[in-house]
Amino acid sequence: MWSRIAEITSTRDVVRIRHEGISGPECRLRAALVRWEEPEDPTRRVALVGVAWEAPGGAISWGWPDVAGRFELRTGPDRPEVCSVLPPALSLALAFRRGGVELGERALILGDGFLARLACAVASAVGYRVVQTSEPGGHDAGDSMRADVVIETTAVPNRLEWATTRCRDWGRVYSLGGGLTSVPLNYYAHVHRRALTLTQVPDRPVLCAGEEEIVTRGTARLADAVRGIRPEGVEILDAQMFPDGSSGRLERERSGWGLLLVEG
Amino acid sequence: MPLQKRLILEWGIARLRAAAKRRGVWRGVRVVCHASGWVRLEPVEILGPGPGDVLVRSRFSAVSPGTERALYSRLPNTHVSHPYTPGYSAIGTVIEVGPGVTPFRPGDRVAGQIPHMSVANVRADRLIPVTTNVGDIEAAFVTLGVIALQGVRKAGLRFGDRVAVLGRGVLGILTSRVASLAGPATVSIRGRGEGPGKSDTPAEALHEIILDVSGNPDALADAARMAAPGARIVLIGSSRGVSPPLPQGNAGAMPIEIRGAHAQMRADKESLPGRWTFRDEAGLYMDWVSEGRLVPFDLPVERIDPREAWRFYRRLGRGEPPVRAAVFDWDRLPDDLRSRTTTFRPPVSVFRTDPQRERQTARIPRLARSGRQRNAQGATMHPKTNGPSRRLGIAFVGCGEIALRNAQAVADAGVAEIRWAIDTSEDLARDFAGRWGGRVASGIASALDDPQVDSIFICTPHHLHAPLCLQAVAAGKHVLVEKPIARDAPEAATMIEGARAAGVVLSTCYPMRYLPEVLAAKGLVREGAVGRIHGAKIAEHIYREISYWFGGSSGRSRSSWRTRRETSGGGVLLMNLCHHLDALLFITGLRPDRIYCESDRFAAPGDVEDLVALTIRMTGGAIVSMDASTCAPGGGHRVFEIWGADGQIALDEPPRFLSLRRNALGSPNEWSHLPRGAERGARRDFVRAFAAAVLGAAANPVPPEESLAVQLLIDAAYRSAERQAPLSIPTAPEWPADVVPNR
Repeated sequence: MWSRIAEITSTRDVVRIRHEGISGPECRLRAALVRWEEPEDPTRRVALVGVAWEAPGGAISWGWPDVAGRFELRTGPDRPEVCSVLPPALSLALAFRRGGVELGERALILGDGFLARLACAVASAVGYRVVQTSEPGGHDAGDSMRADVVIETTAVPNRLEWATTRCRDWGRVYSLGGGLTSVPLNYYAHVHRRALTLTQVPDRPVLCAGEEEIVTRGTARLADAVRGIRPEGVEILDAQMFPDGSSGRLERERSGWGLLLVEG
Repeated sequence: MPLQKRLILEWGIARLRAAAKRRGVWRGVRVVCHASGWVRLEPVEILGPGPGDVLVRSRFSAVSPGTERALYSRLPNTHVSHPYTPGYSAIGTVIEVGPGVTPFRPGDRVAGQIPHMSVANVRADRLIPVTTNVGDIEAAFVTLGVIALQGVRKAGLRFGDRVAVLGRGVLGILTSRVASLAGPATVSIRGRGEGPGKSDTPAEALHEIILDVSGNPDALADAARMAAPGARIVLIGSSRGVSPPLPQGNAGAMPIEIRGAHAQMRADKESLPGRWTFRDEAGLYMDWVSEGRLVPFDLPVERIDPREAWRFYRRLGRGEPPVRAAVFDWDRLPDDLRSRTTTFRPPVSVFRTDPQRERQTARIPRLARSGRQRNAQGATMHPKTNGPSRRLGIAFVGCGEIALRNAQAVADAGVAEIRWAIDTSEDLARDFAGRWGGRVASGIASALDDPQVDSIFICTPHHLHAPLCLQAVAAGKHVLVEKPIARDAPEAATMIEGARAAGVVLSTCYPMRYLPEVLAAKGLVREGAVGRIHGAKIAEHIYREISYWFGGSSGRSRSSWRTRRETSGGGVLLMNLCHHLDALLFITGLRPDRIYCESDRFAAPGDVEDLVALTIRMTGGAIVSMDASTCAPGGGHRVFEIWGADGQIALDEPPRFLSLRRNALGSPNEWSHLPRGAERGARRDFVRAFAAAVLGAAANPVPPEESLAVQLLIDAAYRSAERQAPLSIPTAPEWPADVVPNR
């Protein structure tokens, strides 16, 4: 497996990505999924979540960074902009797989950003019946009946608590976007006493034993599901790649997610 | 509702229900928690078993230390309404079975969800037969075994998993042993603070399964740090609080599941995959214990006498010495107390339950034994039997409202005679003399010249206390002054100096000191029944009509002196709360160290406060909270509570106390009534004691130095309110240059 290393920095107007190969041929960076943990401050805490490269000959490879910032490249099943959004989708799909999915269960997705749209697509792809709501008071499947699964994507304080209240006893709550690491929670009241399962879903996949093969087998199906889903740009930033000097533009969503596409 | 009333009510209801349902009534005892920190053994009557029920006579009931401590101490995430009976796991013998119960017969050994009761009705599906070769103690812990099994089941533990158990209590040990039976690669058990460090966890310290039995909300962070990718953290113990966010870094980027496994969430009727019923789980526990595959724990098990429940829970709540494994041993109770069929005889029990009787039989420690017992100052407490040999001559200065009450006290005391009635209002003086005798005057001079006058009783507006007192002591007269001693501490100090120089007795009329409940309270504190004083709460809220400010409660003497700080020295704090402050210092023997005060005037005319709130730190650490007002429509709210490490005294209505120690007035751990008296008797006793002091038979009943201490406290309160800051309380009058006296 080829591997590369890449890192990103950001100012208010420009993002810069420096990347180089560790093994394998020299590749062009074609697309990258980027997340700012503090959306209101684009100069701080920005990270690459998924990157797609194009090898000589036009083959697309994709990957996500490990803790050292290294990318193990995998064969891309689709266009670069689709491959770059696969890591969070794959992370969620693996979480569903670990937790077990009952065909036809109701999944309520809380949020209206990129992650929420991605979660809708992935949840549908694995067999859930999906309802999305942007606000706690919004219409959802649980107005009269609690959902079997609730997927919280906002990481906004109190939303996680609300998500647990919308979930039936013995149900599952998935927390995307780092909610569990940013919000205190009374686990006795919201999880323990109701026999819920609360799952932390990281932005990028962390594979357990035996899951490598699942990734290989399932990526194409996942790419079909998430095709067309991307952060919706409310802000355009210039992007510069080093050392190859190519440039591109990054569409950044209010939620802090952005998609970088390299021209040409 | 008082216990005796409640028992009678329950007695009647039980018999009505028994008659209606054609079932018998059984009598036993149970542990009851009435309030946070208050547990006792009480009689209970229950109906014979109904359909689906089994009547069980308990042998051992297991203590679940974490849960019971949390409930007893009302820790966060406990939801219980008092009174309740704790406990949920016991072994016993079937006495009787209800209709439709086939698996059990009288005499069977059973274990299950039985509270701490000597005899209890239990649903048959909450019981399991105990196999012959399973010991009583192991069987008594069956419900804890079910909790452990359910948690491990919820974890989805698989062959080869690495398992960590957080919590070294009895449930933690039990859980680790149950987990070991599911084929994991390793099982480690960790206590508080034995989790990984803050730094990244080495790969070998990662676990696929983490079972949190600690009950500690912070343990979740440790669990997250120990989690391997895809790990499952199972919450088995109920966490007592809100958990902080999971740690960032590796743990925050790890896919982990947190699974709740509360015991209440098991299957009810039929076991499902991953969700078994109580009976099925309990059956498995019994099988494994019986087969020797599961040794629940190897801790020494304490056997507690149920009659000592109050002492045990106290220890449990305190956490010292720690309770690891314990059972209530119901065999220690006599048979007739433990369980028996009952009759129509009403509940006259071995327990002290009749407040009326308690009140009648309550004795003041030490005081009732001898009339010569003295209070803290050495004054005679029963001067009737030890009174002065001649009658004291008293001149009343001020013949208004309070003078009438004090004159009544002088008359009641029978040790003094009123010789002068002095008031600037001749009508008032004449009226007073008409009621109580004495010659009438508009000035003090004649009385001071009268050799038959031993003492002056000052009942005037506060600003006249000091000048009148100084005149009297200069003439060699003893002085009784209606509270407060003066408008402020410097005035009081001047009076004390004058009295000392003249060698006469100066005493302040604080009659609360002579209320039987206050004396009894002092005795209890002195003998250690309350332990080290931790705190006190005093509230006194009344409503003063506008007419009060210009004529007192009776309108006897028309004047506006109460409305002006210049003449009164202060409002509700000085006029009303001084009684309580004096009583507090008298009872506890503590001295105030620091004070913070907020006060304001809302309805009173003039410039005196009518609402005040104080927080006082006493020497020794006790914290006192006081608030009072004269502007609370409806009024009537009164609280006077003092509590310490071993008990509580409440002097509001009805006066009562609870001591966890053996004491002279009541049984330990029982609320008992204090003897109570009325103000009239207290004033009478105060006058007697004063007369004894004047005649050299006893010490001063209310030494002026103690009144000065009250005054210093009040002065500091007013200064604190002005400065809006806490202040230290001086031990002697001292006025900083930038602060003017109250007025």
